[in-house]
Amino acid sequence: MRKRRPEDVLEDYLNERTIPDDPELASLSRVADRLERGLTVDVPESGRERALFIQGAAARKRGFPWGRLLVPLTAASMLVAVVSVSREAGPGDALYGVRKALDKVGLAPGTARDANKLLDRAEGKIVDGEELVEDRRYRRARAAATEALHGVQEARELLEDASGEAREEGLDRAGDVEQDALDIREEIRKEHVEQREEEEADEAFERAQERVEREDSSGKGGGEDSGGSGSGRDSGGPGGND
Amino acid sequence: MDNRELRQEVRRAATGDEESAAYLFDTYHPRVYRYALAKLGARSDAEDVAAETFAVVLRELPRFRWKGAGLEAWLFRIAANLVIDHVRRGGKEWASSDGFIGPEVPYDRTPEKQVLEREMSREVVEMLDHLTSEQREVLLLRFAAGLDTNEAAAAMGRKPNAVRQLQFRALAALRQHMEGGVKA
Repeated sequence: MRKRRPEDVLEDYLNERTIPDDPELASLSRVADRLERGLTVDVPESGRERALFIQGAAARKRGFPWGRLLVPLTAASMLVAVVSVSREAGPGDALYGVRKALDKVGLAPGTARDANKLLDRAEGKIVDGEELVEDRRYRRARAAATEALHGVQEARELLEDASGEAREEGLDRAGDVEQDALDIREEIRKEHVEQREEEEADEAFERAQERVEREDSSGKGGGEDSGGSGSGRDSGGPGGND
Repeated sequence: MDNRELRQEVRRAATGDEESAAYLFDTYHPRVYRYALAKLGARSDAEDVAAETFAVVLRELPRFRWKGAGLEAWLFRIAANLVIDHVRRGGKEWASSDGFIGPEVPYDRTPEKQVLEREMSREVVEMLDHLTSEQREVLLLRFAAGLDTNEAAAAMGRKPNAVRQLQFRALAALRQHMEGGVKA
């Protein structure tokens, strides 16, 4: 087994925060510890920057227009019992009509929420896909991206029945997840092109090598056939190349 | 928090989740501040760079794509570039021990401890004076910013092996200096 380089061994100890047995590495580890303690200074209060950062991030998510929806929400709250039962209703059930009606006006709590659940799962698949690309496991990465795209498609179908800001937000989010999935596919495509180019270059090199070998052997054969002078030509060949 | 959870936090922060944004700020702002302080030496400069870094992060986060070493490498590349910009605007990149102002020490510390902390940071800056700029950058990314060598390598655009070697040599040079040896 190859001996590990001291800088790699030291790195392991620094990451594990343990002291090596080797006195040389132990002394370097102590220097690192001293340095780290010296650099770990107290940080001044940054409440204003923190608030600005959080508000700035939150501004990306548009607020739900509770004011505008106050009246329909009040009405919907009276139907909450019906809604809760109708959410599970499928075609043929007594409350299926109620569910479809609520879907149409965007008040069915399940619609946007279900779409968001699908998008959560799709985002999970994107994270899986990105990790798999890093690990160069492209087939599984492509499968993860495809699953994410299916999730996006289902979410979009649900969102078609929703309305208002929830619908817009959901569609925006679906667009982002879709783009991420397409990015993964594009990355895999590029990797495949590079891989194919490398393979083609390898094949071309092998073909060239075979051709040279064939030419060499036919040259040698000719020398032997012509008799006697083969050894002279062999010794002369490399000299000529030099 | 493992890598997968951090990815989810980044994604949520990019789409407006306040808790995730707060998590990112609380985790990385102190590290960016310490890195900038060690580079620039003055509290106000370090605060400016940290604030500017998070302004860039806020703007660019939706476009950020997780590649290789991930968030830390991306974030500290931004911070390092802002340090350079700051220097171009008239600052000084490396806070040599002559110009070092030092960290803010909270007033609730005893005077002895305050002096000790100031001295410790000054001593560290003096130690780092003896290194090449690349060696110093590796150590600051490792021990002020808290990156591992893979992340530091990505932030510096170097190979991890090269960064581990720089780290090893830098620590050896510091040890030699501490033992009263010859300058590295």
